[in-house]
Amino acid sequence: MAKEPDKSSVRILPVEGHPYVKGRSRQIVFLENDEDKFVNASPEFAKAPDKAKKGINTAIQKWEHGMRAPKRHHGWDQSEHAGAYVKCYVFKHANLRYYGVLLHPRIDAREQLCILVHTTKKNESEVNTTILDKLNRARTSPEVLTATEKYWSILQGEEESNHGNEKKKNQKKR
Amino acid sequence: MGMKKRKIKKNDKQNWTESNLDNFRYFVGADFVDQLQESFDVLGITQRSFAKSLKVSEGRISQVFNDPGNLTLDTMIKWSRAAGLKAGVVLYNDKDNKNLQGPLSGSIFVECWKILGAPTEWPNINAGQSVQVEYTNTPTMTLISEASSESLPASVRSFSMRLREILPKQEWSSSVPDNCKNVLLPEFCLG
Repeated sequence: MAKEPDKSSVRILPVEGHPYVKGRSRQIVFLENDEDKFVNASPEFAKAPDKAKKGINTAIQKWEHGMRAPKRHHGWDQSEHAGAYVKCYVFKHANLRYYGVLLHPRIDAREQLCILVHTTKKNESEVNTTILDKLNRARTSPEVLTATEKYWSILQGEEESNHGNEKKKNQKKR
Repeated sequence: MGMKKRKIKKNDKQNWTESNLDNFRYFVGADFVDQLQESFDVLGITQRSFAKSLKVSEGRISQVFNDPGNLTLDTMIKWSRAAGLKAGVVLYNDKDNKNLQGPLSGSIFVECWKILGAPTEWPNINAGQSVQVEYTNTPTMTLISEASSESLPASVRSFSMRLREILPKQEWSSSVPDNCKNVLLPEFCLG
């Protein structure tokens, strides 16, 4: 039976060039929302110049590998803003910023999913807390949580089907 | 007005450095720049003094830092030496034939080299045999008490303390009581 197309305006999609890697503790995805202009990371990234894409891709990859590189990516810890933004994250290239939120989609607390939500050009050194407040609201919105759960269930389905295919291959070999 | 739904492309299943050589080269260059900038912080070098020692403009340094995709091997060596460092090339097999994960940062190799006591000769590596380094994508962190860590080589102890500095706090703090001085070790350090 053909899959029903996703009609929801809130979706989670993979970031091009950063595939899901089984066993890796950090994964990155885009949030898309047709009805919210704040959620612009995905469409803006698609039309970003090559140099900006490379810079942001580098920052994302360093984060995925668990590398500390505060000039390229960082979050906000408990000591900043009374810990209000510990689940917010930013990836940087020159004055370009891609903001996201962190979730732990599975039981293992080490597994982190970063959902990229918003992008903007940053021209002042101060942190724009309006953006971070909006990110926090996005992170806890039921639509985003539902979309995330859906995304993980699809990935798990793929994982299981891949596992099944491997089993079949091995059985054939025997 | 609704935005166009993006279709899942072939590239979604491929690391961005696998799609063309240009991207791979950019990451290697950017990683070099990151290591260099990190050493600036440690050694107290400013971009201005660095530019002066190389007899180039500060703008030239910024330009390369922002777009490191065209760094030549000559420039990498020259700039490393200007910062009092040496550059090397590492070939490795991380069992990721499809390059789903992309290239690793050179810092990983440097940290492992430091664990072994920063040897400059092969026999020295054997001397540090109590550490078995086996690469895993996501090393499991193990907590051991400070007392039991005393039997470990000094280099491993210092590495574990460094880990506590460099890992994002949320990755380990949940299992470490605030008043506890336990040592955090990746599984591979325990051999």
